[in-house]
Amino acid sequence: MTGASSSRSTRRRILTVGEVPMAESGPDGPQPVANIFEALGEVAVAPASSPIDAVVLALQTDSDGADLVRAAESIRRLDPTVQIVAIVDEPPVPEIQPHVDFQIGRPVTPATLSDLLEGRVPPGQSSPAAPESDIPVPMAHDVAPTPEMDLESNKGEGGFGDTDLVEALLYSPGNLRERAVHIIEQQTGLSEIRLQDRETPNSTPVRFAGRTYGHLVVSSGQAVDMRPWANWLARWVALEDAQATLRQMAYRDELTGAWNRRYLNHFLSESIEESRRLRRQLTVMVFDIDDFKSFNDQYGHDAGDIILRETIRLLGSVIRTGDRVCRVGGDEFAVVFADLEAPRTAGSTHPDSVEKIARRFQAQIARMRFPRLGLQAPGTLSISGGLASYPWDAAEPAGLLRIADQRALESKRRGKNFLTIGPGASFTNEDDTPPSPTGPPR
Amino acid sequence: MSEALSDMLTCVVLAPLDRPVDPQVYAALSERGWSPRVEHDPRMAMAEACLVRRELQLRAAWQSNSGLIPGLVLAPHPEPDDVDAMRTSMARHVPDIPIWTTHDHQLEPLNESARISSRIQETMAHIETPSAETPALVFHPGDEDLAPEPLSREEVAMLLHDQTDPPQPDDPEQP
Repeated sequence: MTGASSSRSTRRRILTVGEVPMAESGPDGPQPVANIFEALGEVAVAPASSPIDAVVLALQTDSDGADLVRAAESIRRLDPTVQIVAIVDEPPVPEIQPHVDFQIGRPVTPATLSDLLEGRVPPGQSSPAAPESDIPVPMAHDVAPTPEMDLESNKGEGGFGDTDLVEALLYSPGNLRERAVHIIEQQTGLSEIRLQDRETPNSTPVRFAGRTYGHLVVSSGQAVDMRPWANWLARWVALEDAQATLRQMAYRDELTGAWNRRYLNHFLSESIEESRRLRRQLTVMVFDIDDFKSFNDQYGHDAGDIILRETIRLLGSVIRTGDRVCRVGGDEFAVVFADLEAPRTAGSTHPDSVEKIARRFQAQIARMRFPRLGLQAPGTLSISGGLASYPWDAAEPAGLLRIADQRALESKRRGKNFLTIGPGASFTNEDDTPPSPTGPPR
Repeated sequence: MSEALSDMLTCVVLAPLDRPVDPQVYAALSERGWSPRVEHDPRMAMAEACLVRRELQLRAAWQSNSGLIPGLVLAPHPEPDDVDAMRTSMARHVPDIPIWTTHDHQLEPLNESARISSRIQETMAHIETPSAETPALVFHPGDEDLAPEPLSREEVAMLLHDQTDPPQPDDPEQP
């Protein structure tokens, strides 16, 4: 198990290939490499505790960007989690779009590039479209206010209220539209303004860059020209949408739709903190598909991709609402069992321990068939994994992942198709014995 | 080779798209127990070779294989500059990946790892595999030096009870 190692560096490791203007240099800054092969070498030997986070490609390419596509593909093959930024003459180059995370046009300023790599959207950059559904949970500490933001001076009645919207974007994106409508009411002195989906005779479309985000309507029926406010609101909603897209890209694995390693780190930290506060247990399962690489080699990456996606789909049907499935490497997954109370769906039987869920998943994956693969379909799949629980095995994320990793390794050594389970995962909810950090209940 | 395909180790072959690999090269790979994965682009070939290396390192850690990496086989390629750059980077970052070329349908080592790998394979080929009937240990009853000594009482106690001090008859703590 390389994907979920015990300690990971917080410093972002960025490689640059070609002429890339970067403001920061030195040992902590981006690392220029001579060519794409050097970048591949760095990605290949990067330890799991300090993986390469991003590669910026500024290659002199032909008109269809074939070189750039090959370069991006080769990096992705080696590590699908690396963020790839392409610097091109005239973005967007359609042929490149599916293969990179961002394209930006020359000339590039160091500030623009830094913004992009830090997750802020520079104007005019082009990014691939992300799925609109299932926006990830916001991570406030990822977008902490910078010293330049004066969030207090413009709040409340004294200002226009935009700082409220900035805060909503940063900390509670779901509330932005509601807050924006409230600001319009305050500024216009009108009451009962609504942002609705359907168009009605007196409504004003909220539209920006060719997209309609809803219709603004004054419920009291007063005849007011709402177009300036609709335009103002449209830009905020578009910004909210862009941020949601970036969040989606930052936290989701593109191939399987599972959460990614970055999300796992955040979610696990927050979940452990909550478990500590509520005195509840939490379990992490780390597993991989036995002999997946051999299967991939034998039948090709497309068939391997189908198996990965089906595995995630199956796992999604077994876990509960509050649990999270994360893809942490090629065929390595981590599941955080954070929800021990809510039934998976209405009417379903609540499993009384994580062990049962894990075993149910293990049994179901053995029964899984792949009709889409036709004759290529494997006879049987199996997984090997390890489970570690808070507070039994460790009290912090790195410790839990390390122990789950060790148990997964133990499962491999025992001949695969094996789950190695610590005492905590077998601890049932019905058991009134309080969890003890020193050992299992007897 | 009678090995199932899934048991064979993957060997990456870099060959141009418009020039098929000689079937005899495939035969040579198969004789070594290697399954070829053909790539046409040096970047993809290097990425794939690094992936295979990572996989085999992992399997070696699980003791499910010997840790021997088949490596990368280079057929004549129309982009020699890219191939040279690839070899330079591989020598710098992943020198343990053997790199081979083909000559008269046989593999010839291009780097030190390939030379070592070749020597290991030659050595392994000369080691006679014992048959199932061959006993793992031959004991000669007539050889008195090999006759086992009877265990002492203390040693029996240690083995049975994991006690370094065997119980004494007059020990009041013992039943």
